[in-house]
Amino acid sequence: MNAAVGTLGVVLGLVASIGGVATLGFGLVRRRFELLLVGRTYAWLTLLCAGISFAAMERALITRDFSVRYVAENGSSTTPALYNFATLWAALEGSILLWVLVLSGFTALVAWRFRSRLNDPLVGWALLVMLAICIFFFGLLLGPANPFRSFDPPAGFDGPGPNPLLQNHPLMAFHPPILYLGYVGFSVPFAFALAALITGRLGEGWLLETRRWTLIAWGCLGIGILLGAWWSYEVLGWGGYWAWDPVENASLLPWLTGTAYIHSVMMQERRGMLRVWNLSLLCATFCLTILGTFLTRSGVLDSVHAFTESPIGPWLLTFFGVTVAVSLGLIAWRGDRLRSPGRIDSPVSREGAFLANNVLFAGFAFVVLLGTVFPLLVEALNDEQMSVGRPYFDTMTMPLGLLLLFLMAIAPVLPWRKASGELLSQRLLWPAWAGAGALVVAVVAGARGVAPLVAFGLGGFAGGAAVRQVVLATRRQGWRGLVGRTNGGMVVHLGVVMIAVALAASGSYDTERELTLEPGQSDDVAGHTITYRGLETVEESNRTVTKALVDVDGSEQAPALNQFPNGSQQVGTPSVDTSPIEDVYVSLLETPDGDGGAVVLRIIVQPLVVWLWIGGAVMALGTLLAIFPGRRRDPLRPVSERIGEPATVPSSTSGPNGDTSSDGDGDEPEPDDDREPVEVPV
Amino acid sequence: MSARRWGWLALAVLVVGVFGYGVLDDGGRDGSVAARAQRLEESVMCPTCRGQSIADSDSSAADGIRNYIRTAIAEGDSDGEIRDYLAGQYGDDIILTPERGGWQGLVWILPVVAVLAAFVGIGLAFRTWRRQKSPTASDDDRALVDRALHDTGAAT
Amino acid sequence: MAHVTDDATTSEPEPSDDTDADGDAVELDAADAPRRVRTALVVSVVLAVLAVGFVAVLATREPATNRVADSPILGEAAPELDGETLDGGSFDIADHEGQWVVVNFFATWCVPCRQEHPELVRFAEASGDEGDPVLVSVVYDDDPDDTRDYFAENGGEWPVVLDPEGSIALDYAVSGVPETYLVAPDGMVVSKLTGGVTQGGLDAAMAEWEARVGS
Repeated sequence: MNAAVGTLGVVLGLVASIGGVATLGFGLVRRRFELLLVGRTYAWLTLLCAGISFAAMERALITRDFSVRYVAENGSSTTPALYNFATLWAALEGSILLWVLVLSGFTALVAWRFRSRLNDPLVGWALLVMLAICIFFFGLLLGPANPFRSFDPPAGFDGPGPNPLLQNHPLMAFHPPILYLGYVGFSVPFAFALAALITGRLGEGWLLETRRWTLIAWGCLGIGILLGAWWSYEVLGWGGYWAWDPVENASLLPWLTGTAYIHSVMMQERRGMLRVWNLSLLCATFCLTILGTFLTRSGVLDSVHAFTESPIGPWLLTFFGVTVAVSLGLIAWRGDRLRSPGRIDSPVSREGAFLANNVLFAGFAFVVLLGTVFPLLVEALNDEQMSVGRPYFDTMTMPLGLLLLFLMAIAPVLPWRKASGELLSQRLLWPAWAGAGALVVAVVAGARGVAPLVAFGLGGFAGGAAVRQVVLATRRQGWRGLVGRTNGGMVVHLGVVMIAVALAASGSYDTERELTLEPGQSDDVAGHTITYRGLETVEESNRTVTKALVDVDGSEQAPALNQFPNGSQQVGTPSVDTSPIEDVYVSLLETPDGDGGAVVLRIIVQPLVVWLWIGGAVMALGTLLAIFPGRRRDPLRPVSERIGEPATVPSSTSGPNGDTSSDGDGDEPEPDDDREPVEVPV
Repeated sequence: MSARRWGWLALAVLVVGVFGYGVLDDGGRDGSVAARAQRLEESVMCPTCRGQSIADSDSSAADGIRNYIRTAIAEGDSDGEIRDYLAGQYGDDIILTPERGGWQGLVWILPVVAVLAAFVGIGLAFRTWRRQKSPTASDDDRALVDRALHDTGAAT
Repeated sequence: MAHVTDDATTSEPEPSDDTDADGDAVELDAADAPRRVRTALVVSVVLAVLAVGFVAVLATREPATNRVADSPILGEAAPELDGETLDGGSFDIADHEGQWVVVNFFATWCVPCRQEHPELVRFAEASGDEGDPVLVSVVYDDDPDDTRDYFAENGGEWPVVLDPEGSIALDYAVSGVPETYLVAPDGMVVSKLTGGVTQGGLDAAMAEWEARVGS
């Protein structure tokens, strides 16, 4: 019954998407715009159908209905409730089902948000694109990735449960859905980008409307990636959080182009420039999510994360080809006519900084993409097997990362149009002292080596600049100085700085040792005392857990080895003693034969790891603050002041002489883009 | 603002001093055997759990290779000889660091070229922009703006 | 002079042929930029060509797990294999020149290894005579006691060599289990079988080599 309901949901969803595309397409091509109103109905229908299928699968999982093949292959009566719920996205077919739910949710949300303007061709085309994407994914669920295929369970059958690595940590329940919110969320600005190209309407209206969507998608993707890193760290036992694995790289690529976009779009808002470039970035971001989905599920690249091989590969590759073809085709057709004739006055300006930002992020994305697919290219062209691993990525991305840190330090204080050396030396003085202070603290704490010290110094510099902006804004506007795009952005920058510093510290100064300890024996690693106390075995519903009770500086840790009933190799659960200064990471490698024998432990001591997660939380907070609307701008105030002159339009925020600068000395006013441009009805 | 200039100068001296100390105190690349073994281990992939280096992997094949590396270093083999032997045993794709030359070297060069080219392109664009005159408003434009401001009843 | 129209704030439509009905597209006068390079078109075409090549490469890749790696020891003399066996004895491959030797790397935690075990038992029972193929197993990343228990429960009387340092696995370039190497009577490694063997498969492989060599 579950399978039947689920399949029905998928079929109806596919029919609804096709109907929606057909109706909207007809209406748009024939200019019968009243037909576009129906788009809303189709959007809600697809959501309903996706919801029905999702509910059917969850019901099958919860009731352990083994007549559904997916449940028979991935479910088990011994899996605890939370992991059982999360089993829906533990394997390939189910993950597509989750994707479809999120996608149709976003489609319905778009239809609802723009309900007053459904007969506008721009919205019509956007909805059409989203429904077209729905067609593809519903189609996958009916064809190569069908989770509702039937199975005939023999008497007393119990499924094997999800992969043991996916049952070890509650983050399993959160990391994929948040990641998908990010991936799928980018299809909304993509749909609007295509709509803008098709209709030729590149005015600021659609850009503003979708800006929040893009920020939310970007934020979710970033959080999803960080949660994945955290999960990796807590579960996998090698003490690392990022391996430059192809699947990890696949998730990073759209984040990189998305970050470039959220910066360069400010250029478009301010100066009307880079319109086609921004559209290209949005298209690239979406295409990269499809490419990433392909790489993860096709098996062409070895990865510890990859789903098992399946016939879904060619379908995803075809869809990738179609998406790239449509994007490039539209840009080739329309792009040159839609370009704006702007110019930038000086490279030493906020515009110049944003340009540099885009080059660096695009370069970063190029490095990651090239490194990931290069073995495939070399094999195709030269019949040579090769690998591109961590040493390559670390070497190539480090200079880019340091340059980006530097940009983060100077860009917030750079005014639009042009900056003078005098201005910069005045505004950057305190951040520069913060950087010097960070450097001194680092050296005193024992840090050595060129790259980490540069990272610490620049981190302090960038952090100082961000804090300066927030302080100035709150001084001027009170609590409102914390919300809005610019101020939220400064908080995000602060989070990024924390992450950068944590990356530099934990990457450069980690200590690793393997210890063999008898019960009661102690040893010392990097100043921490490790004492092994004994073993403890716990039987849980889905596994047998053998814990080693270990004292780390007196606090009890319990790294474990888990044996799952399907007989494959034991899966370890490491144990981490966290502090703001250092993490002591303990993995149980080997258990003794009898109760009283020695254990083999791997101890890794890494400084500042917890700041990765704290920095991520700060980034999330900053994103939320940025989404919150700031103060509305007076629509008659010019967007950019003439250089050297104070504003002549009196405004409530300016000082007695119309002086809007932060320090009252009458020079170039502070960038005032914490105020929202008025929403322009399209 | 002379005080500020002094401030920057003091800052520069402090930064250069502290940074220099932090860099030079290190003594350069750690040449000890353990560090060399670690670097080699990080550049060789684990044959069983592809995707991890043998520095990170627990499997038996990784163990065997780690033991081999230590023995080989003790016998005086160079890094290149060790890598060549392992590549001979397990295939060229066991080495995680692409070669610097030949086709493989492209992966190192292309991104550098791309980023540099992009910066050069932007530099050229700035030159072109500098040569163009910035658009000036004509009288018609000014009249249009005045009318718009008047229509919306905004204060001037 | 550049005309920049914005969405709803213009009160007059701009007189231009190529403006859309809603007055939003920006048209560039020829006077503005005398030699406008159609950058978007050129870049798109270049990217399209690259994308076609890229997709073609991706489409023709075999899944990574199916690739049969060429073993570097094929066609070479069999590497050293001597060590202590599970029951405390010893085994040396050099003692068995003139016979086929089937070298099987396995572990008890490896599911395909357990699946192939009954086949190996059958193979060993059929080869009990002098001059028959010799089967030897090498323990790969496993606990000796677990292995002893496994053999006690599931049968198998052939030598099982311990490899605690992984040096035998390294010499044979083993990357996973199960892997089985066939060493011909002349001491050369002639075949590498992965993924689990069957008695029939082993016999066929040996027969094929003998037919080729004509012995």
